[in-house]
Amino acid sequence: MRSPREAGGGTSLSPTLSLLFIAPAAILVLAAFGLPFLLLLALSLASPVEGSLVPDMSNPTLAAYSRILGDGFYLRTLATTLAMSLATAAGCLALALPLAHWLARRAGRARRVLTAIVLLPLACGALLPTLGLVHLLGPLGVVNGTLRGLGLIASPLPLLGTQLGIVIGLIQAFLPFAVLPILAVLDRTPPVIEEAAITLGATPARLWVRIILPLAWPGLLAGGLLVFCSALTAFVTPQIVGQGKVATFAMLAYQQALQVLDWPFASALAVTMLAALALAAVVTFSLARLRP
Amino acid sequence: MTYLVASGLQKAYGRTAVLSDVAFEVAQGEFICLLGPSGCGKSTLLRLLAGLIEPDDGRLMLAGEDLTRRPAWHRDIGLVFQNYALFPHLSVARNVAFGLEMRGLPKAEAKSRVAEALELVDLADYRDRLPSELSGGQQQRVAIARAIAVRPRLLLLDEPLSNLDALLRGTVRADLRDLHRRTGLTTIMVTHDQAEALSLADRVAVMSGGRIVQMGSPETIYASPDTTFVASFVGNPPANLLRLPPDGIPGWTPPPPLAAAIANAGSRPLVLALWPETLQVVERGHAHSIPATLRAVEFLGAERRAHLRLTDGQTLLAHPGEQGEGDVGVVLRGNGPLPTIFDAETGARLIQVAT
Repeated sequence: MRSPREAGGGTSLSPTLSLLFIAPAAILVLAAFGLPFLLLLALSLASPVEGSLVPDMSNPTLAAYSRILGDGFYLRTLATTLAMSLATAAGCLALALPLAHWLARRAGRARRVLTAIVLLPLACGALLPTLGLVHLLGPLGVVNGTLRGLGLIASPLPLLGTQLGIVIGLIQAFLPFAVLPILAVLDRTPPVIEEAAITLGATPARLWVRIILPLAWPGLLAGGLLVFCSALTAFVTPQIVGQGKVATFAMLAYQQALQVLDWPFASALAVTMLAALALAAVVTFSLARLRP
Repeated sequence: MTYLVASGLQKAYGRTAVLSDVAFEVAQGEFICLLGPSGCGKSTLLRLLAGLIEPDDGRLMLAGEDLTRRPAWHRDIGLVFQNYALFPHLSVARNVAFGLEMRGLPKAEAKSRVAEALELVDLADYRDRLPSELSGGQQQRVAIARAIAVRPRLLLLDEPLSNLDALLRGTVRADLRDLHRRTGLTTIMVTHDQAEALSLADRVAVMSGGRIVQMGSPETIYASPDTTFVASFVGNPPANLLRLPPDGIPGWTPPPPLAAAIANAGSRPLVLALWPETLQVVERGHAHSIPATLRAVEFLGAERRAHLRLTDGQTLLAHPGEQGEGDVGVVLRGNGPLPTIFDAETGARLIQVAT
């Protein structure tokens, strides 16, 4: 079988004309991402000027970075943020794989509607669902109320203002990012492959480990990376669900930029986050070779 | 000796019955073809045998064991899918080894069984390739090797020839027969191509509307069809099915044994099956000939085929004579399936007449 890409071959457009068509997008990416990134990098090397918003860029210095690396608070916050992002990615993948598999193989006619529901968080933005979540997770909320009603807990679980609560909120917000790539990969593999494994003696457990997981692997990596990156830079959900009790790196950068007005330091925090994202991407690409 | 026994198998999806009261027996080592048009339930029956779907009712016994509710992964039945269903992320050798790994076979033994299976389908040199690097025919041979490597108690083939080009089909047909001879595996193959079924099977089960309408040797299925459906579906070309009006086909006096049989069948509407190879075009007015118009003679290389129209508009295929297009007669010339009379309403065979 040939993919449409292979079968289609070259387009009828001349190379120059094709370049012209991608020019708007290329310019947008350069202007909206490339330039600000360079500016950010430059700002992070500047030093703040007392009483002025415009930092001094004449003497490049790594002072902001040494402040991050030398202060236990910033390193701890970085570690916490990375750990929460990792937990969010793991949680999303654990939920998304069976969900995507079910949508791809068993949902049948209900698939469109159900997929739309799964994607709904993307359409709602971060704020509304998170505010709803505050009601669910609060001491008098549905979750604690149910658990207490069932006699499973004596006093309410602290979900608001904790890392666990934030991770739950982030999983809720970013689940679609994990479902979509896995769904795309599973859609490309015919369902009879799983039936073949079953007739060859694979029990349901071994079917998942030996066939479904390896087939979904590229989707799991892509989804995991997307969720991890989104969670690392997430701002609204940690702010609202964390209720100011849990600091994340993105919140620190926000405070430095808009409250302390120390733009060089805020830039250095942002660049550190971008470095973490780049590292995550590298790790993900190397995991691609470890397909089970 | 019966090996596989299916009895009273039923399967419905919602209100649509896909299989109704399917029962058959298969002896060990037999090659069975399930033959029928699309939608007749043959693929459903195959999936049911493999355990991929459960029957609503009925029983399935294999070598004396009740398989009806046994999950597919404990059945030891090899299924070769129409689209091969190879694992795209595993090499040819690991595809073939999959079933053996699931059975926990020791590495060394698994390795030799894989080599043996790949040898059998002539793919020993391709063991490290990925399925995507193989042609369709090669992928199919991997699928067959994968199914037989586990030494299944039953080998099921789902339309194995339908995805291959015409040239390859003949070769693979011969390969399948050879494979069956060498492995001795009890094999059940689904096909909609009657020529495949006739050439490969020890016995053919013709299916229609979720039922097995006739099961027997290819010769029986062809020459002694139980119903008009079987007569119209089997053979290339199949039998001519002529409606017999109460006062007979205009201008035709059948040979005495046939005339007597038609008279004995009573006044109900009848269908008469006459096989093209038993009919000879002669000159108009020949004794006991059916008056007809010769419309065309088709040249097919090894044989020629005459297309005729009767005076009442029915069409007929026959063996041509020297006559050119125009008014001719058609007579029975023996050598072939006997003229067969069916009840037109039920489609059931009433009698075959030696003339």
